[in-house]
Amino acid sequence: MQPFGSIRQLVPVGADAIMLYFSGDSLEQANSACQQWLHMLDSFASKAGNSWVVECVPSYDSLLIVFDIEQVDSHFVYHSLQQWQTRLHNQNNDDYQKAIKRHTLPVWYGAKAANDLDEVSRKTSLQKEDIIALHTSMEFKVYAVGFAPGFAYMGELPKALQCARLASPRKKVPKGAVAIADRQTAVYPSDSPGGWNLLGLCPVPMVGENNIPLLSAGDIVTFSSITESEFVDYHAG
Amino acid sequence: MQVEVISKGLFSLIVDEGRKGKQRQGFSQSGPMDTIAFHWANFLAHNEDNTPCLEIMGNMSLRFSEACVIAATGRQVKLKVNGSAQPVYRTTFVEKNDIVDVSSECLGCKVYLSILGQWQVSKSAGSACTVVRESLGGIHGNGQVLQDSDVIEIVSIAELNFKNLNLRELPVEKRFNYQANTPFKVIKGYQEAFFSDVCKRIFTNSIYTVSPSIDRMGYRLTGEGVASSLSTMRSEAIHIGAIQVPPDGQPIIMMRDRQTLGGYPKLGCLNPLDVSRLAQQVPGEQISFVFQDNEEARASVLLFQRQLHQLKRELA
Repeated sequence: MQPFGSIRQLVPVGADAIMLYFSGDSLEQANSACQQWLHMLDSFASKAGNSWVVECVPSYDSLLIVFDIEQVDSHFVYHSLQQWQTRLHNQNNDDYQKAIKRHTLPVWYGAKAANDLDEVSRKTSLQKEDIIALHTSMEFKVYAVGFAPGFAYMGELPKALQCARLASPRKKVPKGAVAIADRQTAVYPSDSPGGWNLLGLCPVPMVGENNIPLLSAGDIVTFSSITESEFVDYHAG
Repeated sequence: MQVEVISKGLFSLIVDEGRKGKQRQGFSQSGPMDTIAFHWANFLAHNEDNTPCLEIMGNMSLRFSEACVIAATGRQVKLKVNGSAQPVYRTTFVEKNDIVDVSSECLGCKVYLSILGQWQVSKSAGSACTVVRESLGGIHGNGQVLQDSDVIEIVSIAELNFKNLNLRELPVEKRFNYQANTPFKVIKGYQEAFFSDVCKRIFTNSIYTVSPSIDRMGYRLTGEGVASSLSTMRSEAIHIGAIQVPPDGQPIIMMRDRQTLGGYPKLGCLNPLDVSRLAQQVPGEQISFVFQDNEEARASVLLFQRQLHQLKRELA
């Protein structure tokens, strides 16, 4: 299967799936290409006659397409993708842009239950205030959702804030913990084991009513600093 | 009707076909470990395809508050009603207050018990599947597996109508062959280019042992190491049956409750039919692998499905 367009590689994954890898000068570009393809596949899959699309699972620069083996084979999928490529060019980008949601997530930085600020300060040689200032200063993009329901991998942290995972993972990171590792940041949707450095707590649930996650791949997120009493009020309100 | 758990066995839970289209939100696929036995159980109990069903390890004992229709399937499955052995892979009628025991002769294998009717269990993220790690599903909705004295509510059909149900039985020779001695078929894919030819040769020429570290997420094998040359890679989607190889070279085959994304190199995926077969292997069993062409894998699945549909038509 020869690559084309923004797809740099296609590889088989078992009898009933293929994986697409995307190209781009940056991870951001490759991820955008992935989101565009996903968006298009979703709109095609919702139409009659395309029920062979069973599941699409995007990640940083890759997209897994699982198909119904009884209806089609990988050659059929490949040819369909080639045909759709031309429409991807023609497709009005507005549609896809509209699907992108923006979120501002409040964070009580340095909350006792989730505070590795000293360690992050040591790893990055930044003052605590600078760490918070950097973390709240920029827009992050959700590159992928996975690992656990509603766990959104966001990036990319500025190089200055890049720091390695903990030497040994914690058995329990509290729900709502805002964390960083390498050049990524995330909010833990529920209590779980984890090896990321914790900056504070976010009171907004990452998985809402009816198990619908707040964040989806492609969404834009900014963090804002709140005080302990604002955090408490959030729960009270 | 109430179905009361008298004894839960080792690890028993409610499953249906699993969560569809939710992996992008981080929900694991879930679903029956042995899809084939799950489907037969529902078919033989006259249930619709995606009806919830019990996946049982160990010996489970249940009391039925009403007469109803059940079927038990799975590797070396055993069924008893009020202490007396009953045929398996067959439509079975039970009476009010009957005690039903289901187990496998081979400890650690999964057996499926389908009970005719509408299960009054809530769905989360589109499925009744219990996923402990995600605190989803189960009769309390918190991901807990079945416990002693739990009660499952099922709206069954009126006993009067039982006579309209034909007795379906899957003959022994038509049942799925769970033997470990035929090699498991692997379709190369994913990062296979980063596994050397020698590595691949080792993989198909070695005997691997199913380790005690097996669960609904994955089956860890022990044997000759087959590490890839790839040291880092970005996390990406993990498909069912993917053969993931961490730096220690010991393969882990990813199963139903696997995490959705992962960053270890993968050599390929099992043929879908062999996923059910692997699910029924227990620690200490020895298995081997053979590579299979993509087209051949698809042909084998299509042939299997065709025979399955034909069998169902004959039995219906």
